[in-house]
Amino acid sequence: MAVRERAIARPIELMRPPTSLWRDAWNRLLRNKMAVTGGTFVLILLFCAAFAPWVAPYHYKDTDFRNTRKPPSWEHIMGTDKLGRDVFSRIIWGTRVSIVVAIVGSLTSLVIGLTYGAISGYIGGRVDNLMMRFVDVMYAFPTLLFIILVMVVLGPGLMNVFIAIGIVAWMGIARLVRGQFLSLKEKEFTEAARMVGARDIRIITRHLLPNSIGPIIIAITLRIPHLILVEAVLSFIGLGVPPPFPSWGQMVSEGWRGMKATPHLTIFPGLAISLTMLAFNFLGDGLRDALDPLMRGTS
Amino acid sequence: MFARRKWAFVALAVIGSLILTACPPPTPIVETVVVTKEVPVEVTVPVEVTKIVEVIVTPTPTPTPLPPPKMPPPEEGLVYILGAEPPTFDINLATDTTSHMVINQLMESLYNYKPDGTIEPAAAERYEVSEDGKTYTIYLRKDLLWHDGVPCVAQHFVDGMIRLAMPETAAEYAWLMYFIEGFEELNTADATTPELVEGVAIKAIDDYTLQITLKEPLAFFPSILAFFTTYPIRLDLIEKYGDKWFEAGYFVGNGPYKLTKWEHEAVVEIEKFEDWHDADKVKIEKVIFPIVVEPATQLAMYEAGEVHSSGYPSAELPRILEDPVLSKEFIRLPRPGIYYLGLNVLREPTDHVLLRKALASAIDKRVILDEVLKMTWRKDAYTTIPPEIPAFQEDVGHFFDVEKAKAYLEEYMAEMGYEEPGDIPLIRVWFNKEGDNIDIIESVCSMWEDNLGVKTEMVTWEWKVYLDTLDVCNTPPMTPAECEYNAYRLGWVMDYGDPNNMLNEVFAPGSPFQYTGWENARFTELMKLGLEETDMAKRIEYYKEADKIACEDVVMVIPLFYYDRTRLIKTGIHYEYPPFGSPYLKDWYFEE
Amino acid sequence: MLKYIVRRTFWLIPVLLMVSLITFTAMKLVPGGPFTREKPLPPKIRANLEAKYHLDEPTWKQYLRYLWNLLHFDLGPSYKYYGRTINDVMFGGGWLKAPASVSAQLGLIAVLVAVGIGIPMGIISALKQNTWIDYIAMFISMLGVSIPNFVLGLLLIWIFAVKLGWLPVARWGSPSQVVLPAITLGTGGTAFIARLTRASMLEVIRQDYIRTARAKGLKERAVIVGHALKNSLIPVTTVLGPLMAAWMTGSFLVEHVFAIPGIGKFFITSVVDRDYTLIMGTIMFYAVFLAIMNILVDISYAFIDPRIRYE
Repeated sequence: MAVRERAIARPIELMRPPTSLWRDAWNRLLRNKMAVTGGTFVLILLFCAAFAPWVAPYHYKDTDFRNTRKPPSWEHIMGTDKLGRDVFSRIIWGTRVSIVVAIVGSLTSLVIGLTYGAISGYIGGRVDNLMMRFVDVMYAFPTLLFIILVMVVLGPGLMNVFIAIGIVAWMGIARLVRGQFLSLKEKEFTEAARMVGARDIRIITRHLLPNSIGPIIIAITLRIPHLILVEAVLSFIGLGVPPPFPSWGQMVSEGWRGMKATPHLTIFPGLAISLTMLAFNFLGDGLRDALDPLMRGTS
Repeated sequence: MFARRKWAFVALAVIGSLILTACPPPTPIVETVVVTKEVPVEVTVPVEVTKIVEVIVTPTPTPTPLPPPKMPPPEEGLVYILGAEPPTFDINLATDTTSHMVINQLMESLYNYKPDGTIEPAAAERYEVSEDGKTYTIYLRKDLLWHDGVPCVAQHFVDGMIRLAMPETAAEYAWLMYFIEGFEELNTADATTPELVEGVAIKAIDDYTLQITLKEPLAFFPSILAFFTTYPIRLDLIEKYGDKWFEAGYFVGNGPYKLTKWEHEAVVEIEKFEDWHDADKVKIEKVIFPIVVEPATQLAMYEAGEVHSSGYPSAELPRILEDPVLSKEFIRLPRPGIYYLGLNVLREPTDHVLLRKALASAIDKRVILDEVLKMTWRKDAYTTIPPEIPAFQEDVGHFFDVEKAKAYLEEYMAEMGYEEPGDIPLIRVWFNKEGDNIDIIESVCSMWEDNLGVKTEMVTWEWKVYLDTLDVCNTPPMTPAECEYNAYRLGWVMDYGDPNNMLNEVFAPGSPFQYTGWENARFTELMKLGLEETDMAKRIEYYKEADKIACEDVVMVIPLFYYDRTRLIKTGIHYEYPPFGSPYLKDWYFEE
Repeated sequence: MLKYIVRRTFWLIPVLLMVSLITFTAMKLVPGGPFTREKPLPPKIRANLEAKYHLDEPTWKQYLRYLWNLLHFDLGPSYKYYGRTINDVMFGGGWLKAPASVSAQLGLIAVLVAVGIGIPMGIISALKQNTWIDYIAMFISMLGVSIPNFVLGLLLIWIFAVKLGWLPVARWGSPSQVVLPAITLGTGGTAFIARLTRASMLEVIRQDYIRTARAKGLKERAVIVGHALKNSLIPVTTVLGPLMAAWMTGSFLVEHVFAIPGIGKFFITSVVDRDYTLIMGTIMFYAVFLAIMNILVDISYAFIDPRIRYE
């Protein structure tokens, strides 16, 4: 009796609700614990960045000259820096810089790379060849030097730092998009759209782009840790975010030489950088795994 | 299951590392506490009794002497870290301290600086001044030799100074010699001509007599004789070797050491010149200068015992001062110079003297030095002339006084009709981002905001761009009024021991080295009087008055602190540093 | 094959031309000049200096002059180091001690370290996927990627040189001075290569031909070495080109911390010092080096994967 009931019950279980490819990917992503951890961390960062004035116990400019370089204590859970400012608060405020580096940097490279790659991939032929040669030229520049050159040309200013970081990174996106477009362009749905009389712009935006988004998202997510590290290196040289804004990279560079005497000044911002990089890496890996069958379909 | 296990592992690692890092080991601070306690002593009359007593002898603890310093063996030479690659050893072109650290050993100028700032004869034996104070006759030693054996004579000194003056050389320090007749004319010409060279009043009367004629008598000219602008030079070798003449293997100097090796970016080595006139007094036979730019690495090499002397990162200062060994090896010596904020007197709101006085009185310089920089030995400054220089004054200038500062501010606001300090226009501070500047300027701005309530903004610049940008503001028709800064940070290390170098050459109205845009008739007059006067006591009065005008009355500059020279040198090494320029290693030795 | 190499080399010329043009333009847009010193220069003297270096000529003329010299392998005079040429600054000192050579030596050793440790680590991780070996290896990789070079370098110096005294702190010249910098430089790459090898290996293992090989009864070792390994190395080889170019042209951070006289620092200091010719020199050198590395990588593909043919 029970067996027959189970036998009937099963097929209903096997029938899943109708779902789209995106839904599937999302579910797959959620099942990936590493990716979820990473994603949650990123959300926490965004929260801290947005609500820094309320999350941070002190303002990042609050100096206390009687309590400089103090190790962690109850009043200052991560200690104080050279001017007596609370390290924890500065790290919270520093999320703004890291998030903006990530967003503005990615956006810059996305805007340039997407446009460039789309045009190159869609038009194809000699134009594509030439455009890709130019990408080769851009690749021939040593990254750090070029960033510094761009920054120095743009002059002092907060946004210029981020833009410079982004300008150097667009080539990867361009190549990616171009590759996607080159292959997608031959697919049946593109032919169909053309036959129906759709204009090029429409084909690009309504058909090719949405199908390329997957790899683009993954590439950007995995690129962000690198952008944050570049900001840290720039701060080390002294070309990072100008004071008094706190940036993790700047805090690490400042505290680095005093690691023996005041380890807390390096360790906490260093940890912040590392964890953020890990989080974005996990998220990116998870996205790649989740979107994999999606991508498999398109290549 | 895969995901769960991995997740747990990572979470564990993260928590683990957080725990580990949250509890940094406390840095033990060794404190010696001296305790005096009154112990009642009972005096008993000794009664002779023979008693066999078991005596336990405990050895009295003698203070354990510090272990011998970990350092390279003296026989291999002095190892002295150079903090940068020397840009050049061309004696007319080198202006930085790194190049001169080496050049100072390879060359001998007419006079040397003593540690107390006065001069002593070096290549010269003595000098005579003419009646009118304008002509100096300098008598050279007769046993001067170049490293290749050629005798060093007066004409070589003339050659050196003429080459400095020549416009083709484009030497940066030529301006210091403009006191000499004909010098400026040659230096500012389009090209060198024999007539212009003739017109420069530096002549070799004979092989061992040099004559220099000034435009006006100058009280401090003798100290210029010790400056590197008077080095001799071998024109024949420059012609022979061209651009290579100052490299190792080609460089020929007249000083106690020869240049034996220069591996660019890596190391410089010098060795004693056996035929130098006082070679037997030179104890250190060889000096190795490793080139290490990163201060943290310098300190690591020092602590590992690989070098005898190094610099250090300022972040390690607290640890150095508390370390039993390092604190003794940390030397602090005078180095006249000031770190200051110049105020733009042509731009709102710093165009009003009351606001400037308020700003000057609201900075607690001692706290910045003691708490932020941990440079407890360094002297806070309220006037521009440093303590080591005549005309230094102790109680002139604006001291830290929040009440006074607020009073000035109130008066200012009342006059200008501001209700709140927040109404006062933004105060912009320009500075270059190198070194500790960021910490110092952030502290200053923080104090202004906290103590006065004014709004401040910091603008950082790269060094290369900084001076250029400031220069533009001084070039007519531009004036500082059109540039967007209210305060700018700069420093000045004095070239020679006279107030003229600081007050006239740097801060005087019209000086290209200050960007305040200020004018003051009395100050300008005092500068002229100071140059012309030969009585030192009178001159000191002039400069004191001028300093007061600059720092107390007009407040076109807020001095922050005086510079000094700090370094780590292993114990057991006798060292000497003059207050100006580089040390003379010929006077150093390893103590027995 | 030869034709391919020739064609690739040919393409170098327009690429390098473009690179030089872009760099030259960027440099001219940069504010501040090379002649700014501690104390400002009187205008006469500055004008003299600029004339000496032909900086007063029209820009296009300066560019052409530069190109002409480039054809003669003359990279021009240095603005920062009076009286020295860029050729001397970058390549002077003999085969062993020239800064470019020193950077290449360090870079090569670091690459060997990264490849020597990273690839086996990645392979083992892939083969033992999801075991504790895998987790540890991947965790270490993550660490390696997220600790900045300069932090790692200083830590290693404190532990092994200052505290234990086993190795010298810094500088270059003896074998013992190679250890710490090579480890510092190689760590980030090891991690990266390990992850890459692992991912690539994982994909390869799932392929049909591996299953076939196993089904045929081949020993596991033969399967891996004979079939899986070569194919999984392709992504790694791709990455190796730019990686070698980046490391062998000098890592600024590692060379700075360890006081190694390579050309790494020039990539930064040249811009900060506004030493125009040095900026051009380092960029051109890097571009050429990268191009050569990429060509070598492409050639090695042919050996790894016989399916790849070049026309």
